[in-house]
Amino acid sequence: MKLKVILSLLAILLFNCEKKSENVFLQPGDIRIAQPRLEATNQFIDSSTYLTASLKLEGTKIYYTSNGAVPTQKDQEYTEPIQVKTPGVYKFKAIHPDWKESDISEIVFYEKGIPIDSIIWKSNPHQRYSGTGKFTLSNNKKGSLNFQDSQWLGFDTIARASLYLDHPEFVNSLTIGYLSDPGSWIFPPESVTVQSTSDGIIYKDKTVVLTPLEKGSPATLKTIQVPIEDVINELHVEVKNVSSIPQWHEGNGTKAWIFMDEWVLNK
Amino acid sequence: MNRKTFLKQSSCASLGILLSPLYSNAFSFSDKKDVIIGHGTHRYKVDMNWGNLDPTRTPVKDCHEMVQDSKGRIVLLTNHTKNNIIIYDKSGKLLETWGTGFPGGHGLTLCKENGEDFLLITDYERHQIIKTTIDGKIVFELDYPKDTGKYDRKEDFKPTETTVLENGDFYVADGYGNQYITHYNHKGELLNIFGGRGTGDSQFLNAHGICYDNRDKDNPSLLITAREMNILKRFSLDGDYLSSVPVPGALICRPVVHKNHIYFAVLKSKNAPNSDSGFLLIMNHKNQVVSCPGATAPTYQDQNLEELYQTIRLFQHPHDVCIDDDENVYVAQWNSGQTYPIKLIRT
Repeated sequence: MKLKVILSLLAILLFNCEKKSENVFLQPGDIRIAQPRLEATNQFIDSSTYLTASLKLEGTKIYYTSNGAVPTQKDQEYTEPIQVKTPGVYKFKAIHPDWKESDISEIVFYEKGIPIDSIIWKSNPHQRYSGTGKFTLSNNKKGSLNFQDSQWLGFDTIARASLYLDHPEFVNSLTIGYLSDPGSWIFPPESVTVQSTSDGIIYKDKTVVLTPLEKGSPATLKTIQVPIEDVINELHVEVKNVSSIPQWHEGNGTKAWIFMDEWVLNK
Repeated sequence: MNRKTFLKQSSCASLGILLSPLYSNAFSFSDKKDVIIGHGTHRYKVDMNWGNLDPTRTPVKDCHEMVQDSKGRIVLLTNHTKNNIIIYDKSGKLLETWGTGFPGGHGLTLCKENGEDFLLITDYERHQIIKTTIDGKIVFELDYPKDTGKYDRKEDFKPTETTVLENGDFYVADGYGNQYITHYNHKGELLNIFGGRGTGDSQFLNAHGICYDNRDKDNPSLLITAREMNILKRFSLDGDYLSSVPVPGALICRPVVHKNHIYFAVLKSKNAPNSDSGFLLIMNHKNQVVSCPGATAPTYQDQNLEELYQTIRLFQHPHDVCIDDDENVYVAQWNSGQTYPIKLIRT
């Protein structure tokens, strides 16, 4: 009986001390460290490109995968710039002995596409988000999560353009890179319609309709793939912005922005 | 177990309970260790519970700015119109609230006149500067500076900050509007206007904060942040551009001069993948960054500051700092999920 009383007292003491310590000052295990910062010399692979990862916090180790899997401490540790020779997804995570591990940062490498010889815009990006000019979408440079960076073309209307190749070539698909950042009223397109031809007489139509964005979606870099699977030299592209922002968003009922960084014609 | 052993153990337990706040970290069964953030001479423990109130009775929206008044109380400005001003003691105990008319309450500056405290509040939704007594009586309301010809309509004027000189003159930074700095005498009469939107030396992108710097008594000046440009600019009191201090990667809100140092809340890290990537920044009297609580240690290469960025996700969007007479720092945050300020205890 006495032993039970003593144990109970000790248990109360332990509980009190633990709780007090948590309540007074922040503990490292309560806080996550930041994601590793990634920089690549190029995300469109011609021959090879170099990828660096960093987080300047003492005691941090960075682990990564190149097969799309979630990195753990059992995966490769990052120690020096990685030479990337093939398309794929690299994922990184920072781990620290005291703090909570970081969220994942990832970067996608693409195969360099067929060069677009000319592009004629039928609608114009907003003047504040006009990128580096009319070739912004075919300059082999990706945008960041910051919509104000110069690799983004931002439209508050339907984006329309015609692409031309000097000589007909087999095009497997068109990849459209876009930003989804609902906090900045930037939504994925509602739909993409592509008309392709090699003679200017017979046109093939393809439309891809995207599923509406769900509440709580974080800012992300995304792509849409539109199948072409034909020999062509002319492509008319229409990317439709969301005409009515969903109910869950503060901008509900109004039109959304679309931001695109790159169009790639895949072999 | 004999009676002697029992008494010895139970008295130790009693002592432990009584003294547990003092000895809580000394217990070997607790492997907790307090976080210490910052670098060099400016390091802090973090109290996340300071100032937490019942949000159904005393809610906050964005916590924009904080000052300490002459009585040592901590005054918080939020844009929640149930209680725009919340006054705490230094322990975080609620003392009083007032104010329901500041939907865009953003800038908060303390001014002292003949031993009495007053507040200057900027409201970017009312497009006004409002002077009040410390208990909330309106002294004057100042509209947009129409006569300067720099503003077509009141909506172009969205003031974010004020600063006050010893003679009562004050300056207003229009950080969300046309980016001008306006200079008034103590009665609110316009004396000068300078700055404006642009990337030139004497211009601003997001002239978010302004502060009177009288650390050099012979050469007092104005410190003004160009937040989007990640630059702190120095101007003469007449509005002439003097110099710039770049702070790469740091979206600095308002400068706060305390003793020999300048303190800043940094809203976010410029190139971070997450928006809630803020931290704090402290400069010494030579304008060198000496500590960045929550971010990378400041390092210089050939006298150039390397890019700063958040390393731990403690702060979300810190918007202002207030340094009290104990050298502790209170951090008010914008868009942080309606949280109350965080207190940092200097170690």
